[in-house]
Amino acid sequence: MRLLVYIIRRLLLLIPVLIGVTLITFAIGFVIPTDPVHAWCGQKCDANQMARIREWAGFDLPWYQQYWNYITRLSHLDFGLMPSQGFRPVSDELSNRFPATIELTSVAMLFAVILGVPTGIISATRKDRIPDHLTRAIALSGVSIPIFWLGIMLLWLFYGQLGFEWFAPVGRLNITNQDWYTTHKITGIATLDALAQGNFEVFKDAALHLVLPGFALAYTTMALITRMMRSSMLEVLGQDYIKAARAKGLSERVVIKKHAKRNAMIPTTTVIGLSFGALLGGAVLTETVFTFPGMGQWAVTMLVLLDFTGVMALTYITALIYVSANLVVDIIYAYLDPRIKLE
Amino acid sequence: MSTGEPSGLPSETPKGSPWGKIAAVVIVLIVIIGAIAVWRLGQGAQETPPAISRVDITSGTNGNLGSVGLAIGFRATATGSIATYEWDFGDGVNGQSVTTTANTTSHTYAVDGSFIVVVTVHSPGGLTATNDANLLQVVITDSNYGPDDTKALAVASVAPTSATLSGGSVDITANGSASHGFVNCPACETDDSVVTGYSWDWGDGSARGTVADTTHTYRAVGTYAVTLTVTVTGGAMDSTTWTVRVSTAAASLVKNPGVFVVASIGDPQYLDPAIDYETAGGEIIKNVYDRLVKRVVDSTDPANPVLHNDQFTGSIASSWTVVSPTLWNITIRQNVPWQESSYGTVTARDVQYSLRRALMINIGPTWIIDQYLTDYASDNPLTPNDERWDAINASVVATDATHVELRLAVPYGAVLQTLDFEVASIVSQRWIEDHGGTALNTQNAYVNNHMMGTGPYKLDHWTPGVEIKLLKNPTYFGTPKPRMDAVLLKLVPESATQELLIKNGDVDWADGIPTRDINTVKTWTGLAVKENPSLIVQYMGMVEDNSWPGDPLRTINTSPFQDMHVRKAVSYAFDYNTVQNTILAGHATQLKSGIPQGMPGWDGSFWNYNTNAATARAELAQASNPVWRGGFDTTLSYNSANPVRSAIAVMVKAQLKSVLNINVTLLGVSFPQHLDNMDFRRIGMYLIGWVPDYLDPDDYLKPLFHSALCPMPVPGDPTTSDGGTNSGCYRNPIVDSAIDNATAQSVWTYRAQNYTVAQQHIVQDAAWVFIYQPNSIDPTRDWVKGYVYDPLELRDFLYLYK
Repeated sequence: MRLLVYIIRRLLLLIPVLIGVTLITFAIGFVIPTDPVHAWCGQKCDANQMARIREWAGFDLPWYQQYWNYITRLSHLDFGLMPSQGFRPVSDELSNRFPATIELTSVAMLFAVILGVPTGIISATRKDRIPDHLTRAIALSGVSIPIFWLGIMLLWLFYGQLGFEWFAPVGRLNITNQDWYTTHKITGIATLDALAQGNFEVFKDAALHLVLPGFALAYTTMALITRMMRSSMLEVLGQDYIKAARAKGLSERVVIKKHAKRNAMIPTTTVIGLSFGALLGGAVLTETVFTFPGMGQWAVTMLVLLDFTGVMALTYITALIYVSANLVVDIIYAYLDPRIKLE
Repeated sequence: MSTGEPSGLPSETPKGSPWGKIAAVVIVLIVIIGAIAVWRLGQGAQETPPAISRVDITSGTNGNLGSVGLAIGFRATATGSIATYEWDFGDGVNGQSVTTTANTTSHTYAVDGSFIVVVTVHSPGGLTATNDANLLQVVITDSNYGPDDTKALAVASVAPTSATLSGGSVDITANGSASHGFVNCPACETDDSVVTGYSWDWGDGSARGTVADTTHTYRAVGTYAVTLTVTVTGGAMDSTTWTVRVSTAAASLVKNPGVFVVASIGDPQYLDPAIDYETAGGEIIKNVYDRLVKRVVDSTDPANPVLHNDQFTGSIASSWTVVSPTLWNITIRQNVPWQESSYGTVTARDVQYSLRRALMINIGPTWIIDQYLTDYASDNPLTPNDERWDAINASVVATDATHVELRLAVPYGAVLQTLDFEVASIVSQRWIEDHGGTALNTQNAYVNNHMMGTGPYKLDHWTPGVEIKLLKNPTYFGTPKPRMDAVLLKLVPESATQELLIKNGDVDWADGIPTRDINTVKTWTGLAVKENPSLIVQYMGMVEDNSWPGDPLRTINTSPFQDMHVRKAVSYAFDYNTVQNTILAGHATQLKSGIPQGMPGWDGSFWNYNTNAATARAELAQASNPVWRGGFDTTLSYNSANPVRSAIAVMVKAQLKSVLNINVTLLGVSFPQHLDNMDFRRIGMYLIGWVPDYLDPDDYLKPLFHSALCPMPVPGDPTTSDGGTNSGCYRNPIVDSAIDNATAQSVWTYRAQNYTVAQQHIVQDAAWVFIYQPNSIDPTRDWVKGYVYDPLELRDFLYLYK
């Protein structure tokens, strides 16, 4: 019951946060010193034509009216029309791209946790021995290698040099399967849709197309998780209750698994939760390198074209995800450590 | 791919007598047999030479990857009179080949390796054709290893797998390796010592090869199965097979046959021909819609069509008559079907509607036809709407069911060129009216995103930011007919990814390879990089008048560039060699006039500005204002996202400082900011280019040098520029009158004389620093055929195939 009240209160707090986000993103569109209409209209565009596009985009209205229109639309979950894209609705774009990015970031998160947590534990329990040095080297490379470089190198090696056709960076599926998927889309998450309709060939294809971008995207987060897991594990292992557990004669496995791991997971959970936001940011680069049609690739398009309808929608959604991830982290805290009270 | 299709529910057993059903089956059988009989008779009557357009896989693989022991379905698509199909699957078993009468078959590979499928079609009269121009490659892997298997594993690679006899022979290189205990003994994997013997069977009956790495010479045309058999310690053996196809003509392995795949870098803004004014959308519009006229393409040799830029032929128009300089009578072609058959065929009313509609919407590209149809009446916001209506309705009139009159407000010399531009595409009146219609100054969201034309390809789907797919229009009225089943334009924003995709053959044409990488890309095998001089002009403008009516701080013109000697000094100080050979790595030519080389009317004989420091200083010393003679401070605006312009800007700054003591402040800004700088003439110099809309000198000289197009504040509002395109505000009355004279004439020799006069003054006045014409570089796979270079840089998919 207390948890429920807490969640409701946190959700209500979301409203002022999100209004703040809309204000800031809206203001950015006004303060940048360039006129995006010129970019959409081109070099050969004259004043009359620019005025017409401004009118179509609603830019001829005073700022407070524009903001009011924006907020009213947003309250119906309508993100508006993109003036740089022939005034297509943002919601079309979101319905296509959001599931793709969710699929990619989930896979990346899976990679990061599955690889990061155990290596962190191994590293801590074998401190200053070869596995530890190795893990630390990998973790260090993870936080220092730029994602786009890693992405290009993975492609160059597995697709360019080793010639694995199924990694061809032509999107989420190879060209023949894309045709099937255009007519068989359900949720937009290609792997699930293919499984649900029993098409294992498409499932395999979609899964393989997630391997390289998923790994490239996961690498930084994995490194962070490893480092966090290692240090918090070391801290926990030095605590008295661990000594007591060992003195009781428990096997090292039980000590690590039952007593140390859960406590060491608390700070790591924070990192994992907050990484979701970082993964969305990383998706911008990964999706561009792998031609993966998600939100990140779209963000680049919107920014290059100075399309603030798109940029505002993206900022808004990213903020929403960030704030929700924080909330989830707080709730998981309570589960991991019963002493933490949610008030 | 229909592998995942759920099967339907079992149908209910019908009640009552079965005789009706039996009768129906018998009738259907009779009809089928009758149809086959008629078809066979028809074949016997005239025998056309067979040809195979492609061979592809219908089932059993992922892409071209298959497995040992699994059946793979094949289909050949062929034209002409065909009696039998002879299939050689490249594995050297089953007596080399299988003959079928159907164009489909299936095959199960027993060994792993890389195979080429060769199909030979035989006509009833004995004519044959093979698919050497588009071979199909299948890669078979052996996945039948259990966890406890210990076996020998042979690995081979053979290159080239598709070879051409040269001087009666061709050499291929074969490399083999082997391992033992592959599954359970990872340590053995690289241990060559376990291998006791290699045996290469070349498939041509010659002596076997016995070492791991070797070469072999073939002396006859054929499909050879090259099998490597390895023996490892203990006597276990394994084989792997690669097919080598030896032919007389150049042959290549085509990926994704049937689909022409382009890695693009730009997404359309709009798909409405009346609104869109950029190349990505223009290209789609060009292929889906048709216009009244088109430029002549001679496709007698379909693989190498030739474009005649200055010759026009009818497309939707079947013919036209120029009654007077302001009256064109156009006859509309009959029976041109719309892509959606329910809309029937193109009528004169559709043509009238299309052109009037473009004038009414009045945005981006409208001026191209507006300039002569209404003399900009439809564009002037001060003109009352009903007068604009009248001007629009008076300019294009369907006089009967098959004739349309163009009643020009002013004579114009390049009517055909502009009618070939995308804005003049013919749309269906009924289709547009069914989907929102047309209103003055208003866009139509449906037409922005959907297409229904008469062109060789129709829009299948557009996923913005991801891909556009076009499908063959089976009812296309023109000749030749489109050759590909589909055209797929995939947006690939990252250039490194583009390079990998074309190198591996997953795309046929890559748009996004930067000039700096072209010399490397040219060395890759399997690619054909086409390079042609473009009609884009790249120049450095100089603002000759920096005063701005209505701005109290800019009441008088203080620009040093109003002095011709200053402009000449800058032109002589400019380092042309560095730009062309270092910054552009040789992929450009010197620009010598305000119109590019290759455009009719071009005259490059006046340009004489080779880099010369002494001449530059001598020119600056003659400047009318003594203050300017010792150098001055100025600014150079450019869009910093363009690496070539950034590099040129840095060179200009260094050169002008060292040669002329001119201090240049670089303004590297975003593109819209750059355009803004130019529109308000608040800078000294600017780097910019001009891409042609249509192939006439008027499209360069008028917008870029006519004094009427000097950017000015819109009446009553000094904070808004009218966006004139002569951003430097170059003014020369002789040039103005030469351009006006040429524009109003349709006799080419007279126009050309005027253009020569204009060019002479523009160049001798040093109106710009004439920098370069970039080369248009098209990296394609070598299997791409039907390539036509169009200086307007929009692909014509009608001719392209592979």
